[in-house]
Amino acid sequence: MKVNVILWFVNMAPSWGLLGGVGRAAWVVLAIIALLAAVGVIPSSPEPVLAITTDYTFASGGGTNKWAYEEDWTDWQEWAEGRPTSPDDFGTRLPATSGDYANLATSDNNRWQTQLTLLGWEWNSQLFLFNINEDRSAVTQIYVQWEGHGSNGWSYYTRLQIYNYTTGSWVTIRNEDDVDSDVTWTYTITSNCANYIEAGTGEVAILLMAECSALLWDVDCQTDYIRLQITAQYSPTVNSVSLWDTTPAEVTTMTPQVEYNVKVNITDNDTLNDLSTVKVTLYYDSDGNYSAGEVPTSGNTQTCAILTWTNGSGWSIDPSAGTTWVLVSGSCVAPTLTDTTGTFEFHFKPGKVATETTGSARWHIYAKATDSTARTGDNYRAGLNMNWYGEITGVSASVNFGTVALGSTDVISGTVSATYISNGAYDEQVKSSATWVGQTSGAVLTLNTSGSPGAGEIALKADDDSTLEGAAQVLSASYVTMDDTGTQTSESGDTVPNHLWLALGSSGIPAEEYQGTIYYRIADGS
Amino acid sequence: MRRRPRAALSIGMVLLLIGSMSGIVLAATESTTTGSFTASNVDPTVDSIELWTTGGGASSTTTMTPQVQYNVKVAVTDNNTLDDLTTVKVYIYYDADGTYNTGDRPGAGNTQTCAILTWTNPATWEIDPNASTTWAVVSGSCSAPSLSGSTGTFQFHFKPGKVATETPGADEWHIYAVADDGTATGDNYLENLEMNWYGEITSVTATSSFGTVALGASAVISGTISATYIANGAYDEQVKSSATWTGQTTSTELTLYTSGTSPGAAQFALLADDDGTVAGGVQVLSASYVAIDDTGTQTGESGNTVSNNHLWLWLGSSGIPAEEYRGTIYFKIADGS
Repeated sequence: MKVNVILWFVNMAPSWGLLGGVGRAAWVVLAIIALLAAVGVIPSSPEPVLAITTDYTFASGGGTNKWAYEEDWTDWQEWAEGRPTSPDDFGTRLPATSGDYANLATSDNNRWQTQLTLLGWEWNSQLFLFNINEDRSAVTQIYVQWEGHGSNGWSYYTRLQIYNYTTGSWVTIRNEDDVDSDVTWTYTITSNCANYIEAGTGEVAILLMAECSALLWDVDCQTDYIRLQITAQYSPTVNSVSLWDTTPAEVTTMTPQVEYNVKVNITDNDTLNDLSTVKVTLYYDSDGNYSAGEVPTSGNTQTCAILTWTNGSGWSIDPSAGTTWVLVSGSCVAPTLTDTTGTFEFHFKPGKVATETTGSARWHIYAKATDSTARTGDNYRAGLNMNWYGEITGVSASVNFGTVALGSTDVISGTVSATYISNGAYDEQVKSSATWVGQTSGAVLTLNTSGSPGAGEIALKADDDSTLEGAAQVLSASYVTMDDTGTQTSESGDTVPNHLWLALGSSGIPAEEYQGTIYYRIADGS
Repeated sequence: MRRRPRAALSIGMVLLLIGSMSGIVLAATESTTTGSFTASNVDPTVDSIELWTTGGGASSTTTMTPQVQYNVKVAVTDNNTLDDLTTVKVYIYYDADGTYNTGDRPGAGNTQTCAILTWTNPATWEIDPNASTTWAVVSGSCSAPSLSGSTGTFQFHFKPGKVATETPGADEWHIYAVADDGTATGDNYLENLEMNWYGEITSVTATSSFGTVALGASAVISGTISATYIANGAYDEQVKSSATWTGQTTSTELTLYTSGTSPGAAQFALLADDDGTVAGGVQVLSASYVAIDDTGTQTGESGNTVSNNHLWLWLGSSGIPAEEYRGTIYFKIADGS
């Protein structure tokens, strides 16, 4: 971190009439003491900071958005009344002429001279008004450069000030005596810059005051060149948030494990390279009514994913481990960062258990852009749906009933483990191949679906536990449900110990091993 | 099984549901497991055994005759399907005391006492004894039922051998059938069947000559006449002659004299015996056979060859032109029971 050491000068009115000669020495001492006391340390802005810097000069003349005026003040007005008290308090506001503006245009020793009074201890002054274009809230630095000179003579001061519209007072930039030859004064404001910019008009006022020497020598003030440099740091704005599939078409419904693209259109007048992060938070809202306060701050496999683009680092997602949420970073796109507006495209796949939306529940997308100075902009896309998703895995490869006597009924199988993964209500279903085949003779047994197998037939019942009660008769033409009470699972799913019960016809069945296929399925239980 | 209460869906909700299904992911919603079980073995059963005649008008019978085709019908049940059977065996065997007893079953074929017919899955028909025997399995007529069924009748067509023992008394033939599925067997039997007498004479010497015989000569011996007798029981050796013998030049006919050994003019008389001595010789008739031996017993398949049969000739003393005369001698085997 860099630090800047800035000397702050106290605004000390150096004029008190005839006592001025003695009082000036004391004031100088006080000024030195004040100077030492006023030494401060101001932290600089973090790096890098992208900002827009604009110079305001009279190179193109005056009028329109910049003006120069001159006036003179009596000692009483200046010292006792503190005039001018504000930019509006500038007497008749004698405007600079085009020739004066030409003299102000460049640093070329062609000066605009104001000599409206020659009386000692009276003041000639110049007022420079600039209406800047920048949003006052975005201004991070005001830099003033003035070249010229005021009066000569010890204790006859030349003072440059800038107006603080918030406090309603002038802030002294420089106040020195015996400035009878050209100097260049500069001044930088980096905090509370908006205070120096008039709300609504964008006016910045700089006042030059030069006290006339009682010696009547070189009693004027002259400005060769003045430059106001405004540095603006803009907050980003998120113009739009939209959800697209990869067709591509804009959509309002997602399905887990299908790739989508959240398009976030952002403007940052400091260029998009000023952005430090863009975060997209996709989250489930059980009541479906978007509310900024409900935006989660961390990922959750069922309810939230936070996609982040980080300038210079790339793309990331939370949750990022042990999840089926996927950031398809290879498809993600950031706009040209040298532009001020562009669209960030976050390609992702919702996790398997991203909560299904039923009823009024919805998913929302909240996008937030943060720039290098922690300025933010945000927006959202509300009211999205998530389709049902179900997956069955880890089904036992085989299950055996052992040796079964012909004519047997309700012979229980070994356990058929199955893991169900779903983002909502689901049913556990089962069916069988229509035939089971003898492994030696090729004999074919037919599945009887009424539960009473005849010659050469078998029948099966199935359930999601090890008790026959409640078991479903297994069919071959269609699935039957063993359990319709499944609810949303975690990413690891719900593992169930299914069983089957076998009934065997009493004849027509060669003594050998038979094999058939049992199909297990997860279905939408909504 | 757990059940969730279901709310009725309105038409609108259904349409909404259908409309929202377009994006449903179907992958991985289904998985399979291979189910298996081993059906246990069920013992086969032999439900019935029947003996049938064959050909037109086939019917159930209890009596067999050697060399006649019969059909043993064996009804078998195997709930593992008949294809589960490895063999079906039919034992046709002789029981001297006629009382069925499992301990009496032979273990191997014997031309006189036992034949074992075997069906081997899927279509092999065999018989034991199967060499140098006249027992025969008529495999072309045998049939097996559909093996995919659990019940069916196997039909064993066979012919009893020539020397399959006759059952003249209390003795009987039985049929025992056993079905074997490789793991277990089922059996049954049919008892008290009769076997008819069977006799056969073969290889009788084609010609025999008395040589030149003087008119009025007595007991002129012939050459040897050999004959083979095959029988499944007791048998008699019998003989007779044509009533006349004919002169080969003049066609003069001489008449067989059957009342002793004193033939008249143009007559001759014959005695016959199964050895070379006239003692014990029997008067040969023409109207019927006379036994030269009534002590024959069951033979082997190759029979009993009697190679020393002879005839003795008595010739009338007149009325007989001098030329060669020929006649026919008949040898016969007859049931000796």
